[in-house]
Amino acid sequence: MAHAATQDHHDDHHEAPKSFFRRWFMSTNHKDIGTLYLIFALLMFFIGGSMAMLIRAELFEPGLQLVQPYFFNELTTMHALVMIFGAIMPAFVGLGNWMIPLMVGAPDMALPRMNNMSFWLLPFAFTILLSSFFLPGGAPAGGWTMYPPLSIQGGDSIAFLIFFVHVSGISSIMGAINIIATILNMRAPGMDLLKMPIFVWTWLITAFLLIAVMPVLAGAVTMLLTDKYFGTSFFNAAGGGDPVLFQHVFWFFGHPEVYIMILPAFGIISEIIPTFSRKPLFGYKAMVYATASIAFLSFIVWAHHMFAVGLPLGAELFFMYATMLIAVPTGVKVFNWVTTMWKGSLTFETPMLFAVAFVILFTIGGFSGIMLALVPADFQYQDTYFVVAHFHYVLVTGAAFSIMAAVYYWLPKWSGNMYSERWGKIHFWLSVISVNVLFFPQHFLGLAGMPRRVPDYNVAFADFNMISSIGGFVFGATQLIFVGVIIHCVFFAKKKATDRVWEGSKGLEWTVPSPAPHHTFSVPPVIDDSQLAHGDVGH
Amino acid sequence: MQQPASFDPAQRRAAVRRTVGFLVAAIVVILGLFLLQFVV
Repeated sequence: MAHAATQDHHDDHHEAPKSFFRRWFMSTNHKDIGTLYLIFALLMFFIGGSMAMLIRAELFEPGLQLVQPYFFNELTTMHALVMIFGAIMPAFVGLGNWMIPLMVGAPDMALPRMNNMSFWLLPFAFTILLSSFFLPGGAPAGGWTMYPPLSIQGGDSIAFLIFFVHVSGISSIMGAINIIATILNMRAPGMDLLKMPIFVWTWLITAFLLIAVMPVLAGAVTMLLTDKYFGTSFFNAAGGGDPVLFQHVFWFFGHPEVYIMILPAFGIISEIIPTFSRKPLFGYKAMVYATASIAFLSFIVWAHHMFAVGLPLGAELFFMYATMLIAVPTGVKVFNWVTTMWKGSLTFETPMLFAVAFVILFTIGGFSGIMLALVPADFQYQDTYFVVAHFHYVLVTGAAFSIMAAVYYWLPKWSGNMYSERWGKIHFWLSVISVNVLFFPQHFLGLAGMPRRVPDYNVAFADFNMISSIGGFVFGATQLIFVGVIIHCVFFAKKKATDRVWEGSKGLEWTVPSPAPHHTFSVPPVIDDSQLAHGDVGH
Repeated sequence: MQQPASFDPAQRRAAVRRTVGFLVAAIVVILGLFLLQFVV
């Protein structure tokens, strides 16, 4: 099982298998599986994105234009599920698969066959989920949070959704086990924990979060399943249950899930900013401790999603203060990124542009998070477009921008070619402008009282909705440039990448050739502290 | 845990097994708590 954990590899395994089927369907190679994850995530990004385009088209002006209200609810529900479980999470797993073994000097993941299975569960899970559109009664429409009683009052699509959650949850758990086992056991000699790149640290902590909360989600949805089909009443008030119990259990998963989607992003940004600032990361250890603090706090803030359900005052105060406390380690991170750039020899290649945009725009999402954490204010904001604006700033200009930054940063290492910097920058500037046109007006809509998840709205909200939709269409179309840049880089680019790729890059991943050979570090690398991403942090 | 396991293949395999065993046990405990909901 732990074949790659050994050095007893066979010489005939040095090249990728020639057969397409063997290489891509039966792969145990971390790079190929990483590529599969990234391609899958990109596909899901466009499927989820096309749902977003339909949503924004419907909301372009007041009244019902394009879709039936029930189908609109299906779209909002499925858009969230596809983007969270299909695009953002698999993209980070793909990046982790590709880069973690390279960054810690390991020949592969600790459990390569399980790695294959982790990936190949996902296409099946999403076939189950997306096929629910064709069921009588349509796809799940009760919101991605699956709150009962609404979620179990529809058709049988909820059973498909629950099965999807189970299968993709197993995939996530297996991926997390693999990442933890790799990081703890497969590091090259001399790669101490506090010499690991920050991206590896953030993934280690994220993997522990996944292990802790994915089984909780599985448990919650199983209770939902038995409530609908097997006569239990966990969440049915008529049978002695409590629907609010589901919200508690769901958000005990759901809030750490937010950090599962942002901690690896923090890691990526912490790799990119030092490279293009030509300085070591400021406060390496503080970054590690801040990541761990955020992870810990993520377990004690879940009820801030439920301030309006009628919690006791003491609970509301506790969850308000605990939530606001998260601003401290997050502030440490933002401070350290800015301080890393301070007096650095900055250049603004595409990955750095996305990273700087991340720091600014994620912070806007963080500030609106603080606003939402205030109990009295939350009663006004909750279930409005302000919440939609908040979490899209965190997840699109946060998580998605970090993934784009990572792709531009590591694509030359993966493909051996340089992408078009001109088109990368065009992609960046169109994205950063349009995404703000898309999401910033949603703050105003929310503050003015426009509710979430509605296909029609008062004419008072018309102007900002139209602006938001225009931003959405431009942002959506712009992402086709991203695909074009990737395809051009991988298949057509003439300019070859050097091994180090970027002038300021440091770390083991830059010591292997570009493109990275199919097998790397079959012989453990010698760790030279001066070449590590964060220098000799012990002194 | 500052230094990774030895590069000796057998030791490394054992270390991976220990890590996986610990994590699987943690998952079983969490799922077990949910299972209790169905029996009590």
